[in-house]
Amino acid sequence: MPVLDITTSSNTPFDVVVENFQDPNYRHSLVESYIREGIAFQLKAMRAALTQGDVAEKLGNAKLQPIVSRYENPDYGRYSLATLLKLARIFDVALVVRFEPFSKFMRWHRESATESLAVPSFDMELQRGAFTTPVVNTTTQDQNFYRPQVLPTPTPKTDEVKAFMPDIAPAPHSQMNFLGGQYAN
Amino acid sequence: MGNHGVGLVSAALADKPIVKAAMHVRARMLSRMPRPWDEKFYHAIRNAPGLFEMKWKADGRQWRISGYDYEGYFVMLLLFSHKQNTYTPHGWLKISKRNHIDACAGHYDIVKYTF
Repeated sequence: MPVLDITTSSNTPFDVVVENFQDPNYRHSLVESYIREGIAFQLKAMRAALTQGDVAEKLGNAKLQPIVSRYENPDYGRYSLATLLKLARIFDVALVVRFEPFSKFMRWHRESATESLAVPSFDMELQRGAFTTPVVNTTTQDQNFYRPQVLPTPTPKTDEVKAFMPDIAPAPHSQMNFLGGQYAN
Repeated sequence: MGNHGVGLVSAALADKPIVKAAMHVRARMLSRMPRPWDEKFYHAIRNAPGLFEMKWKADGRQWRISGYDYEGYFVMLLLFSHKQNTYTPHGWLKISKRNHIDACAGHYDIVKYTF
């Protein structure tokens, strides 16, 4: 029997996702929900064996347990940057806050479906050898992602160009593709 | 059901983009959390053996989906909402129970949830 599967969403047709993103209310709500829920669920997953009281103690006061509980509520959503930085320090993970184009966000949305919510600490990563393999230069990938795609310009046959534009000589391929050459290096 | 159910949830919530986005994220988060899921987000429905509900807040209402566990998956049966003791649709429990029986009897196709 085929079953509903919310563990794999990479098979979502791209056009369905794109269609949803056309609506500004949807795409901005998605970002808001990801931030609100993502932080709450990640905190709970990262806390693992620790109690909320333990985390409160690490925050500086064991009596802050109700506040930690609030942080783990996905409906809360009023975290200050200072608090998030403190929590990142407690769990020894990086905190990344930045603006991104929706195209990149959408790609991440599709690719992160099965990522673990429990982010490993620096020490855990060290033990796993995460820093021993060469780091992939994602900057270059990102730069390429932002660049407009340059489609290969078909070289018109001289006879065809003459037929439609009898007074204009066909430009050499390198000149016609000048902008492409500029971006595609 | 056209297109094997692909885009069904998106189409059903087409006029509720905020609810749809929140649901997509909640489903995504639950799928990434090991079971058992927190009772705040997912729990058994009273007086309905075998039925569970996932819930989230969006656009000033509480939204819920009734369903049942099947081989480690959550099979969604009915989307309904709750605000100030009013459920929409009103007969959500009765409909959920009926859908549950029908689904278990194989009267419905169960399609993968995609978002």
